[in-house]
Amino acid sequence: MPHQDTALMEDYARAADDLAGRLHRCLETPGSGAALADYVEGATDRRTALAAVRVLGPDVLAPALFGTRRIDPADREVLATALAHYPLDAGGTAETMCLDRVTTGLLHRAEGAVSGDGVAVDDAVDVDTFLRPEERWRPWAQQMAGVASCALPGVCGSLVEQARTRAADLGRGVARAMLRRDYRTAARLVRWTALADNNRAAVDQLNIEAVLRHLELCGSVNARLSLDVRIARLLRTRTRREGAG
Amino acid sequence: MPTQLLVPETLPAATAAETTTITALMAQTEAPLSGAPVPAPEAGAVLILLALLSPGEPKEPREK
Repeated sequence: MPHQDTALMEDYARAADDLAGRLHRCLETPGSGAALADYVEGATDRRTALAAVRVLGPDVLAPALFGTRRIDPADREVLATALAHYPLDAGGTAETMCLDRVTTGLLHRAEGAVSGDGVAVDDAVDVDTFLRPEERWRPWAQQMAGVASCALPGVCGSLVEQARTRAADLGRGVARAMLRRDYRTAARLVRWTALADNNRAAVDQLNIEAVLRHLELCGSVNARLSLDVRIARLLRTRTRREGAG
Repeated sequence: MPTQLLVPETLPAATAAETTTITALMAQTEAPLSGAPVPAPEAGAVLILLALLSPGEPKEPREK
């Protein structure tokens, strides 16, 4: 990789970690943390800050979705700008198309432009072509980890249905990732298990609480891992509250 | 809020390297197997052999 691309990767990765840390703080303490617009405007390099917003995709809306921070018009414009400035249509993958679809769908819901049950990726991506329901659990779980940023409140459709149907395979994926010390994959799969609320028996075979505690202890230095773990915890709490109500 | 600062027209268009980098960071690939030590029982025999082959203790220098 040329030197410039390596430096670019390091800059963008550092910015994504920084933004992930801010989002994590915002999720921990409601109302805290700078708004997205303040973050981009205060950054030394706005392009890098926008790239960080682009990389994290749907997760930048997590504080608004979990009710810990309102999203205001300037924040929505930042997200729309990041999506427009870094179009991935040409070089994108099915996974990035899923993430983009969820980001734009959740953004439109936040603007009040659309209503309904939730955001589904099915109108933009044929999920069954890259997440084949008959796929063996190992590659399937790896692909679900790849689109785990779609595991957020307000998302429905094929991705969530596959998570519910194959909850036991999610558990296998989590167990394998923990054995390999691949904590990022484990955290991302735990996000999906939180949405498999109709299949608690399959999920509860794995002690998700112990997994989350282990990830918090071992992965606290990794900002994006910490963000995934925090979102997984909030999803579990929210799913159980909705199930009990 | 000066939103014109964020308008795409004021920013140079994204380069191919930038979009490739973003795609790479969005992708969540499996981490390589951890480098943490794994049990290797066969290493015990190697260690014993090395201990047998290692040079003995240096002798005390004789006074001249």
